[in-house]
Amino acid sequence: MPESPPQSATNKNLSLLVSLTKREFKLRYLGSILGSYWNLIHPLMMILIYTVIFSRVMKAKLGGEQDTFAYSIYLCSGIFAWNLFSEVVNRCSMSLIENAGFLKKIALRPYIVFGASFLSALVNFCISFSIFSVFLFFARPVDPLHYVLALLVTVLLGLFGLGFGIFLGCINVFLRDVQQMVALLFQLWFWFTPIVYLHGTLPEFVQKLLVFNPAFPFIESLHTLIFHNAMPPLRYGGLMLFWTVVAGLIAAYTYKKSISLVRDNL
Amino acid sequence: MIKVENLTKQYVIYKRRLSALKHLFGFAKEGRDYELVRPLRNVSIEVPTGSVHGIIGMNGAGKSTLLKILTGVLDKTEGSISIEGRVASLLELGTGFHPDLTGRENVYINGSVLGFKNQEIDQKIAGILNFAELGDYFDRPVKTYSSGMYVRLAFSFAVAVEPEVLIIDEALSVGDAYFQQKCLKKIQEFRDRGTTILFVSHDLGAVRMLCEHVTLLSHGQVVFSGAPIQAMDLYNDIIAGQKKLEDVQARADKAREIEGTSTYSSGNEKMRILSAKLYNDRNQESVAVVSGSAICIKIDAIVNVDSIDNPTCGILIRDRLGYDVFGINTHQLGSKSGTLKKGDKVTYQFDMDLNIGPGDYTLTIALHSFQSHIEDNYHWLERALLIQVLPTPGFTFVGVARLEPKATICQH
Repeated sequence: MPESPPQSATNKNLSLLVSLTKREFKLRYLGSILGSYWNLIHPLMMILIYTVIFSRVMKAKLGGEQDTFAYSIYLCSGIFAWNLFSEVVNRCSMSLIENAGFLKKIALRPYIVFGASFLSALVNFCISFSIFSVFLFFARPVDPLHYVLALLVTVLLGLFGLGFGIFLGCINVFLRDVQQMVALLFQLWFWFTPIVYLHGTLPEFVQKLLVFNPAFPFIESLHTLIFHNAMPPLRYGGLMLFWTVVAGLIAAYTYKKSISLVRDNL
Repeated sequence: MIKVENLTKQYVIYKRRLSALKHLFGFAKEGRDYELVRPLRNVSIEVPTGSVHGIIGMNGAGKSTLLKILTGVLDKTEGSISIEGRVASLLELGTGFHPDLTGRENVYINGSVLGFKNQEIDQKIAGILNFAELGDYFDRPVKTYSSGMYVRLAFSFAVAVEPEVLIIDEALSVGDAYFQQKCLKKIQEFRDRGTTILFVSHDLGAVRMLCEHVTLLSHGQVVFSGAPIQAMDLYNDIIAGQKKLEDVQARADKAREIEGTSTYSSGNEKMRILSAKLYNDRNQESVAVVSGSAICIKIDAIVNVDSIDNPTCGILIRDRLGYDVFGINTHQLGSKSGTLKKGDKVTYQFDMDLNIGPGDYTLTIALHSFQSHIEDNYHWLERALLIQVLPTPGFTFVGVARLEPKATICQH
């Protein structure tokens, strides 16, 4: 298909990325009245449910003189980032297959579709998180440094998801069981990560196992930064970087090894 | 300018689901887990700027794989490719369209995917709408389109980008005759403007009309590259060669492809048709012949009963819609074979100038007694042969009958 009128390669890839992201959004809410408001309705519903069910149970555990919003803030500080993470992985694991029509007809560099999945999930996150931020600003202001760090942690979690998602996405072309497994995995993973509950409520031995949960340092750091308005321990930072780099390396290896075969097999 | 040198493509065919995973991580063994196939082997093609190059070959010859590699949709295994200029391709038209979006939305999204800014598409949209002739449908979801409309939109979109190199794959086999002609005209326009065109088709007529140079692919290799007429002769040879072992039935299969109905064979088999062959004006067996040229149809038959008196052999040419174009038999022509005995083999030969228009035709053959098959039908073979009639350069006309009039103009 046509090459663009003279434009630098980066520039072209960037505009491609933007238009693919737009397309993903457009298609998702096609034929619905509420459109992208569904982006807000889902997390709001989730927050409501968890708040109703868990706030009483958790109130005592949160300690001290806690207001009514305490649990909601604790929950939101982790759950939006988790949603971003899970959306990135889920999207990426399917994006090669979903865009097969494009990839088979147009000379795209296939990694573009992963980029589009990542970006559209990020936009979703920004929408819901900005509303949470307004609420936060009035209910329980956070140190700006902590807030910025929280955003960084979230982006890092997204990148970790991107790496993991690219790995899964490439394999999914050959083995469609992957996308089913991803759905299942995320159910388990969600409950194995202290998002709706406090990690202190877990039995001692399970708490020790949390070290092996790559999502734990991310979510726990966010809780510390936003809910406790404090700096998380440095080792969490190290763990986060470690997992992100590992995921990135695995993604790069799998992508490089498989992409030519992926194109043959789409 | 398109230059392809020693291009080889290798596919990996996995034997089990998990073989692919093993292969990714380097544990797979050839033979046990996968096999390698090479749809293209050492293909070299050079298309100079501003020329029209045709690629022909039977199904599975590697045409589509070649085009996919040229357009960058598939990766090559070995060899080199260089293409100068902006490329537009019509690979299985319009599959990049999303069914739930309207034609207009698809144009914008596809356009931006191809690196065009919205303002640039704004300028092209009138041209696209005009060429596609979609009317109100342009603002309806693509899923409501007929297949013809879909193709029109796709073709219009592809030509709107004003490519310097145009790659066309079977684009003209879809859509109605009117639009096909419009597309052909557009392609000719591009050609006249100096666009380099690579044209892949089964439609030998279109290839002959458009191309200056033709490459024949067979089993992934370049068999011939040169003048269209020679390439087509060789193509016919390949087709004929592959059908040599099989007889009439195989030809009939070919005919079935265009008509979508099966060969119908009937009769009491007192006499049986063994083979039917079409020869061109150079006495070569062929499936594609030029309109107005001399052809010969040879039919071999065998007698299955003790004695048969003056059997009649008839031929009937029908067009692609099934209408009778011309039919005649040996009785009407007054040629007689006399009495034949069991085991006798006869060859009926019909020589004629093929004064019919370009297009696809079928040949039906019958063996019967006297004037028609109604009395005693020995063997009737519906659509025994496919005849592809190619246009004559320098004499264009429409219709089935080739009348060759003279035109005189007097000014008063």
